[in-house]
Amino acid sequence: MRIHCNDEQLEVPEDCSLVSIIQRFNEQEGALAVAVNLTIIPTSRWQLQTLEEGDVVDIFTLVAGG
Amino acid sequence: MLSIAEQSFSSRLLTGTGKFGHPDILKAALVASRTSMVTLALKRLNRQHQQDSTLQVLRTLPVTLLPNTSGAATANEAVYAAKLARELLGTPWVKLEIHPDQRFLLPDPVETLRAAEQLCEAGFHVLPYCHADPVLCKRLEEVGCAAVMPLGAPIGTNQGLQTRDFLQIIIEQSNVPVIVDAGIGRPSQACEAMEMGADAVLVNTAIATSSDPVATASAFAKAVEAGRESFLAGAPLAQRNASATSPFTQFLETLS
Repeated sequence: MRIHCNDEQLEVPEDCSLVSIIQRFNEQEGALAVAVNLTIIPTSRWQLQTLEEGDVVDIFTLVAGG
Repeated sequence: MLSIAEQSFSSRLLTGTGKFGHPDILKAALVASRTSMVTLALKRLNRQHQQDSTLQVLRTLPVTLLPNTSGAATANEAVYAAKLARELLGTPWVKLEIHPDQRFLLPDPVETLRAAEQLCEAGFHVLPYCHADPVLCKRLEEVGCAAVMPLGAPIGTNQGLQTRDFLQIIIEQSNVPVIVDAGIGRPSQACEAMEMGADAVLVNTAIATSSDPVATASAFAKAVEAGRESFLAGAPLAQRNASATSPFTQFLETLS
């Protein structure tokens, strides 16, 4: 199935977990915030959350800024 | 001591973390600035993302982190960004920044007020970046913002206090701290803002892009302290006519 992740289309297996998408980005723990279809998903639910066709996943981090 | 949303801050110099050449320079400059509140930005990850060590650096310093909503063009986007930042950092602090125009990066007052209202209701400590508009600043205060952050000049321009007269009105009228943000290019300009009675200033570009960011950060720290001290000391107003500082003894006239 296809999902959108940070403006990119990804082909992923059915019942793909959110955490497997997050792990594609080699970021440190505690440095990411994640939302699915604009709903923020707490870190504690990343493992359980599964994705569906057409879901929009946003993964953000914090960087330098003024 | 500066107090925002009932939290005390030892420094009246807020600093941004953008545009520094290296994380070591960022860290040394922040230490030299003696800042106690530091901004950072949210970024959507992509596959080419280079790891950014800003957050790691900041977590080693005794500073309050102030995530901004830069990049948001609407109230909805800014509220979303603020909630993501709160999730990531566990902080209620947010620098609300909505500037749809990429050339001058001027803040959108309508969207900013709309977002401020929603974020205050949601329990955030909202510090809105806004134009030096006294009426808007009062409206932002009324919806519950913890401070207001009127601009001196457009972001990153180093033009100083172009909005001087309006900043003065905002400072006189405000019941929440006034933090002059954006456009401050030199320590003397930060000092001037503090002498006018601003509660704090936020500086980024002027420190990060100077030839020696660490020395410049130190100079800003001193300028902000000097300006505050001068304000508290009650600097006298400018006069049109001269006023002698030595006594008139008129002894020269008696000799002629």
